[in-house]
Amino acid sequence: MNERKKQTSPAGHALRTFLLILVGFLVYAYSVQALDIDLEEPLDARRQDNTADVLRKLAQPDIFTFNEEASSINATIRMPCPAEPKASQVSLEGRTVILSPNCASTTQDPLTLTGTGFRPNTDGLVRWYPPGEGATTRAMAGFRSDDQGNFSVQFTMVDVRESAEPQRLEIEQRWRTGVSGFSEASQVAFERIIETVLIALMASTVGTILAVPISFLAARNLMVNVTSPLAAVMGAIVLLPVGGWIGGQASSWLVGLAGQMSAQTWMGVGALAVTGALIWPVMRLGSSIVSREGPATATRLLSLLRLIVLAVLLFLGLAILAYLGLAFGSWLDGRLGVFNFIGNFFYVASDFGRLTLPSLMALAGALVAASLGSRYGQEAILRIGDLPARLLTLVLSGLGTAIVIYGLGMALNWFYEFDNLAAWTTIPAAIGGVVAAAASLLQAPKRPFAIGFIIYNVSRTILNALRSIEPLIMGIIFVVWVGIGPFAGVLALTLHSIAALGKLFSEQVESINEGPIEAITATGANRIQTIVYAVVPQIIPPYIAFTFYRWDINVRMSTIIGFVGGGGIGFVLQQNINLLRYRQASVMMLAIAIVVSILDYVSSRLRSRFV
Amino acid sequence: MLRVKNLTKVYDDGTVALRDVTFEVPDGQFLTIIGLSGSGKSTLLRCINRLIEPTSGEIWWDDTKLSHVTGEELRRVRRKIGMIFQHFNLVGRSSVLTNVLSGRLGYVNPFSSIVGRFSAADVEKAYANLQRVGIPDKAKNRADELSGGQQQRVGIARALMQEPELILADEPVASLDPVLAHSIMKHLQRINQEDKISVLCSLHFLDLVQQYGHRAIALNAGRLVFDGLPSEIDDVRFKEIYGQEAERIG
Repeated sequence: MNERKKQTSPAGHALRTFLLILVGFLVYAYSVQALDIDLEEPLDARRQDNTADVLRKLAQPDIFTFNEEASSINATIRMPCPAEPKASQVSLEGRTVILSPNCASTTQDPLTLTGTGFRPNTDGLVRWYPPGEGATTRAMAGFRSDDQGNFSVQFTMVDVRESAEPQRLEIEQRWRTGVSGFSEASQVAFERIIETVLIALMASTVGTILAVPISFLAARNLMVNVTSPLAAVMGAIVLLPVGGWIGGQASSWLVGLAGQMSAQTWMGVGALAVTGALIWPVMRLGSSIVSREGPATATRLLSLLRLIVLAVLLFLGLAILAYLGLAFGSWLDGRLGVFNFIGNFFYVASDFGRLTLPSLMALAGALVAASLGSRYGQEAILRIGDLPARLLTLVLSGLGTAIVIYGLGMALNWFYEFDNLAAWTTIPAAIGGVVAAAASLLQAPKRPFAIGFIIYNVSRTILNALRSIEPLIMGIIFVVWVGIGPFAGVLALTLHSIAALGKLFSEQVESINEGPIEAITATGANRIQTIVYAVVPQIIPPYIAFTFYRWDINVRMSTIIGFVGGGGIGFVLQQNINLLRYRQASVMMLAIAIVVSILDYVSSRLRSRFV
Repeated sequence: MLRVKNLTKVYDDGTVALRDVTFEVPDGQFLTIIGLSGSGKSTLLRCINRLIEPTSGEIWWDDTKLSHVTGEELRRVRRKIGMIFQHFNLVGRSSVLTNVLSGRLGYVNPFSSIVGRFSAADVEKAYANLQRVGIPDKAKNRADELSGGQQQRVGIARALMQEPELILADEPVASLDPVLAHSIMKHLQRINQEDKISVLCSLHFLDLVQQYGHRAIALNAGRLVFDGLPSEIDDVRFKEIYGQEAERIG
């Protein structure tokens, strides 16, 4: 590197420095204009007053409600003034006020009110009761009594209503005698801050669970060794939609069957027991199959059959469980009092299971079909001669690429609703298929193709793209989908957590000691066993640490996700700010500060225990 | 009998690690492999159990073509080949027992092994093998709490769990002091003699080669430069293997 570095003359060096400084100057100079940086505005007296007003309100959060006492005294005022204005004096229970003059003709006439014998150091207010039924009282002036209980205040009338009778002025002092409880704002803040912490907890938990498998796909060291002949990869892609379709069909049949079985609760319970009892022996059957020597076809068929039976039993059991859970949840509803949410939990969790089972089963079907396609494709391609292998690769590459392009076209169509659908799906798929088939001739058919590296790059790209979208923006979309409320916030933060944790987790996987992976692979363990025995023990501590770290971040995020309607304390904070209720907003901010700093501390303590 | 024929390995970056290596190992032999660091010893051992894919050539174990098996068959082959590593390659955070039991992974039902269940027979076998390498009391310890010599014994116990027909040992004593080195080599020697398991062991020190090896092969820049009895390695041969600049130590 050093040899290639060019020698620069001192003059050239100086010129380059000068140019750099000039460019820097231009950038900053333009920024000042582009960013409206202007010191006149903040120095403007009116703005400073407003700011001071807001800051003072923020400094006095409306936390408590108080018991108050009040005492008042009435004076009279004449409007308009008689020919000779004079002062008037009123006394009540040791307090005396003098109004001078005791009349006003215009809103400019200055009035002076002095009082003696009032409660010392206490705020008070002068109110005017305009004549006529139902006229609202008007605040005229505020005052504060001194150490001796005296005050003097000058004011003018805000309005003049002429009448024959003298009109009433009320001079009232109010003072707090003690805290009576928490204000409404405090109670709202308490409810919402709990909601906020729960949003963060939910998003972190679900995000972690989903990020773990994704992090393996995005870990370079695990994926780079995943190679397979091109024909096997393409075979897997071709079988993917087939398996998905079969899985989907099977699941709708299974869910229907489970629904019928669970029509009567006792029947459902019986069916669940039978299904559960069958799963165990079928799983145990596995060991005798695995340990038999030799790759007998019969053994393989048996193994495949066992997998299918196991999947059917498992999904049937889950579907029955979901139906029973729905029934159980509705039965519990209204029977548990304070703990009614438990019934609701069973209902929602079962409903979630019932609604996601078909997709899960379609996914499982697709994955099983793809893995079968890959495994048998690989064996077939290695067994047959070179020419048939080339032909098989050619056909499968064409088909597989066409399927991928068709799928991408359909996905784009969902966004753009093309007028000419074929131009975006069938035609490019056909062209791509032919090109890929031709290109497949360049690859030696039996050479391993680095499919793992491609999966790694694709998952990395998706994670990076998702991570770059702020949760607030995701929140806007989820609010449209599931409505305003904390659920939208949970979904937005979950999605962002998956992306962020997926990246962090995969980096942890990449930094593990490779030795154990090598050692476990050498024992004849399969890929999943290798991950469970060589990778998982090494990544548990950092995964736990990062989960707490994420929870910490999510608490902070969930305080503002409400700004876009995602629930939590941010929602009420924004409302209060918009209504200029700064003292209430201040309570929310205080609650956020307290909770964030507590969780910050707790999470760092917990993290340090695991690293 | 292990037969390696014209084995060549070229890495993706163009490095030629093995050039046309051919040799045979009769059953029950203790074969030592010597050569400079980077001469291809590790690559050779890893090609045999396919942790590294050979570029060309063939490897046969009796009538199984090790170099070309795939999938399930590859796993079935691997479980009969134990491997011992210079850096032990134990999972430090797992218990010694779990590390030893993981040697059974090629045999057990994948479903139960993923949830950490092993049969009572396997657990008993694990204790027996720990007993055999002399650390039965360490079963419940975390693997990274053990000393280097003890960790390597766990590595041997793990390999024994595979009921191997062949053991590949990649510089098993290079991270240990001379006293421990002899102790580990004696364990390997006993396994070789008592269980009739063939051992392929790469080593750095000639006195170990001459003390434990039935036979020695030497690699230099990926080429097989010597194949004979350890006692035949005299100063001339030594310089052929390690280069003219080299001097003997130990």
